[in-house]
Amino acid sequence: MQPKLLTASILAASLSLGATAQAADVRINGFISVVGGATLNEGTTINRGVESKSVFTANGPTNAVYDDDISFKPDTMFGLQVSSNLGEGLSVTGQITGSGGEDFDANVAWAYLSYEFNDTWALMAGRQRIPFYLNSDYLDVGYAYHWIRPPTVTDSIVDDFEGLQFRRTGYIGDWDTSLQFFAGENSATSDVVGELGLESILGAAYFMGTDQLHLRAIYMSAGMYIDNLSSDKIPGLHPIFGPIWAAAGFAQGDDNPIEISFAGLAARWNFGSSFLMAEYVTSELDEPILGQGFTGNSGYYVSLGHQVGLFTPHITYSVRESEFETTTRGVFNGNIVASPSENSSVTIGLRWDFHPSAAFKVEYLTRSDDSSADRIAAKGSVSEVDLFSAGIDVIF
Amino acid sequence: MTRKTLKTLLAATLAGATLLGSVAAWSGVAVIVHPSNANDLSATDISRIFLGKKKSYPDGSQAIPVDQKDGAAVRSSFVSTVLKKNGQQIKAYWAQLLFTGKGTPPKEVGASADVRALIAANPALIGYIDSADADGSVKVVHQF
Repeated sequence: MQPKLLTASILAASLSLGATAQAADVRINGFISVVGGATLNEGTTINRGVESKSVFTANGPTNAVYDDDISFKPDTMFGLQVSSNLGEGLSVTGQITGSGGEDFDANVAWAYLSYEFNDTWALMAGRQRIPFYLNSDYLDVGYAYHWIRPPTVTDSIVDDFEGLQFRRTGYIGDWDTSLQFFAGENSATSDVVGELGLESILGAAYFMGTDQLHLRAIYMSAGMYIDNLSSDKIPGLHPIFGPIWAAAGFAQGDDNPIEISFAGLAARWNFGSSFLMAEYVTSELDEPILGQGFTGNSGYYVSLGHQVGLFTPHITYSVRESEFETTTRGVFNGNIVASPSENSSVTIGLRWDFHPSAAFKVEYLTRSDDSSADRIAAKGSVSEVDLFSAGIDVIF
Repeated sequence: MTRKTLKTLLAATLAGATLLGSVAAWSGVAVIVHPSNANDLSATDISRIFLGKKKSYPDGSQAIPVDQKDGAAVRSSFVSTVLKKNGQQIKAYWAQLLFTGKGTPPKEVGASADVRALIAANPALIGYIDSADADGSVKVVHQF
């Protein structure tokens, strides 16, 4: 049988064709990524005097963590999307995803309706992705990019929001342009740190591109908080002092959000069978978040790939720096080191499009901890880790 | 100017393809619309319509692109010459739009004869066929 799954679903959706038939279309599409990996060489993490091997967190703040035992959980992911075009510019999209890092608990990643006023303006209302990064929109869809996972410098604690988004698309000569305005809020409960939320999200993103060159800029501000922290939510938290910290307001609480601003710049250049991508991101908190002393981070990556037939070898260099300050309640937390943490990594990988709807990928990542000496002395070379991973991405 | 550049590019690409001798047993590709469609379409307009960036013709009427089935030689040629993407790039492009609800790929309707029959019956449609299959039932707006 020649028709592949994607073809079959498109055909199913196109049984009736014509100007009026669009109203009846309901599309079901999905994606699955199955990835296994393990760390090979790792540094030392010191947590409250206890030394352990450093690990690689594929998607924070979940349990998507690789250690030196092979695991298939951290990057394994599925998604199922139902969408329908109701005609006259109105369409609805719902997407349910599950990831190994969250024990495959089903999560509504998208649930929104979109109304196109005309060829230029569209409004999306509901739960949708925050357009933090160049790859944010299709972050979960491994098939859509060359890596197994995008560089961790483009990993956020919150991916989605509930709210409104206006999008204006247009053209300037040969350039396609798109301007997005979005506003809303989000709260997500994490096994690792409790409830995380963003309030009063307000942002804008601008994209312009030709076939060869894509350019993108984004700015966003929001109020951020962490809530409902308890001793059993924080690995390694002191069994006696933990509850005291929780009671003392270890977390920010949603009544007292911290102002956070985020900005990013990205570019992609396609030349011949090669591509070059680069992205710079920076976020800043108005005051240190309680319990962590975290005040913001910044970083970038540069990625180069070259397609030879069905194979795409690629290499990526990325740097991430996080800032910390002692907080007013830092006295409760002897673990804060008020100097930056910094790491850099090199990823070498290969994507093989062995099937029209599936890709096999293999990657080797080596990351070093470039933090200050006092931070490494106190916390260990937390970021130092080498990771090998391989997997298959399928869309259907 | 832009259109000229594109035409030169198209010609160069085609010449390159011919030199390489990789062209299969088709005579060329014709982009076709309903005979009543009076729009003047550039290669950029056609590309935008087939990439889901434009949903109407220059005169404002609705534009619905139709694809040939995956693997057809005419389709590979159209995708590489007009859309300037290879098979893997076009799949990844649609995966990016599809899973964000921003767009859906054109419908697939079989081979040149099926595309021609559908377009002859619907003024909103635009498609591409083997040049040898073009006849008076449709209008050729672009050829390479």
